[in-house]
Amino acid sequence: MNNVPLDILDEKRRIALAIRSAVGKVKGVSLVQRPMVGASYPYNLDVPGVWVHGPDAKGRYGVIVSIIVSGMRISEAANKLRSEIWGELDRRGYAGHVTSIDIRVEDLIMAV
Amino acid sequence: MRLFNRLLATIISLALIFGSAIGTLYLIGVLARLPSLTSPIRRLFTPLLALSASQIGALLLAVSLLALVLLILEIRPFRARFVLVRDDSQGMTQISRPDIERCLSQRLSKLRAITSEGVDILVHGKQFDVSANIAVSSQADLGQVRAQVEENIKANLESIGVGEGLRQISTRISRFKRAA
Repeated sequence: MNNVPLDILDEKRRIALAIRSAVGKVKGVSLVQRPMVGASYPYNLDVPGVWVHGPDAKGRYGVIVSIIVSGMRISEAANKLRSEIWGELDRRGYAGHVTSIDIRVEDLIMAV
Repeated sequence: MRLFNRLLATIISLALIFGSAIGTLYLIGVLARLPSLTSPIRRLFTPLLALSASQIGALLLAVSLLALVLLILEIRPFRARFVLVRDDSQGMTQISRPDIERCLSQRLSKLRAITSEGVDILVHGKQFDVSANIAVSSQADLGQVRAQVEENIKANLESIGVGEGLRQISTRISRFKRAA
């Protein structure tokens, strides 16, 4: 196994924590833990359900967020969550470090 | 199809296990000089010795073809676990396919004349390409049920906010078979 520099791990952790904070602000959406093949981050139990992968050649990261949506239209929930995440990353100064936010809806809990 | 693959894999595995066990027993018999162990095994394979070279070749070819069929069935691409509903520079939005199928099935089974055991929904492709196999009671009007099913699928995909991704719905409706 290759050694990953500590600053990369720390940056991934900070991005994941920012995402967790953003998810907490969207009603009807919660994180769900899913193991991903080759994922280095989710096995750090700080933020289950968030996989920060990378960095690429430009030092930027990609993010996959696994969520449960309850009682809400998926497209509406995903758009709201994505904009909340970008806002939170921007506030914490990480927006420029992230290339994309992929949202995976793992479960639909229908309230109706 | 998965059932067929499993059946084929089970048959081949059992044949290999049986062959290995026989081979091991024969080896033990030879090493321990136990004719009581080797002679029944030799008798078991006597008919094989009577086969000609072409017959043995045909037998091996048949086994190889069977294994090849199994290999092809197993390595062909299976349906993706997620359905893509949005993809742009900001990122993708995907939904778990089994979850959509479960959600649509649950809602369809609430319709009149349809039971939960009779509904089988499959979502294909990156966009929604839904096929529904529905068994209905003998009194139901099939045309009406078909229209109702398609309407229900559209409305439910719409209600969870993914109606735009729907490409086509193919519906197969059959009458419920009751035990006499």
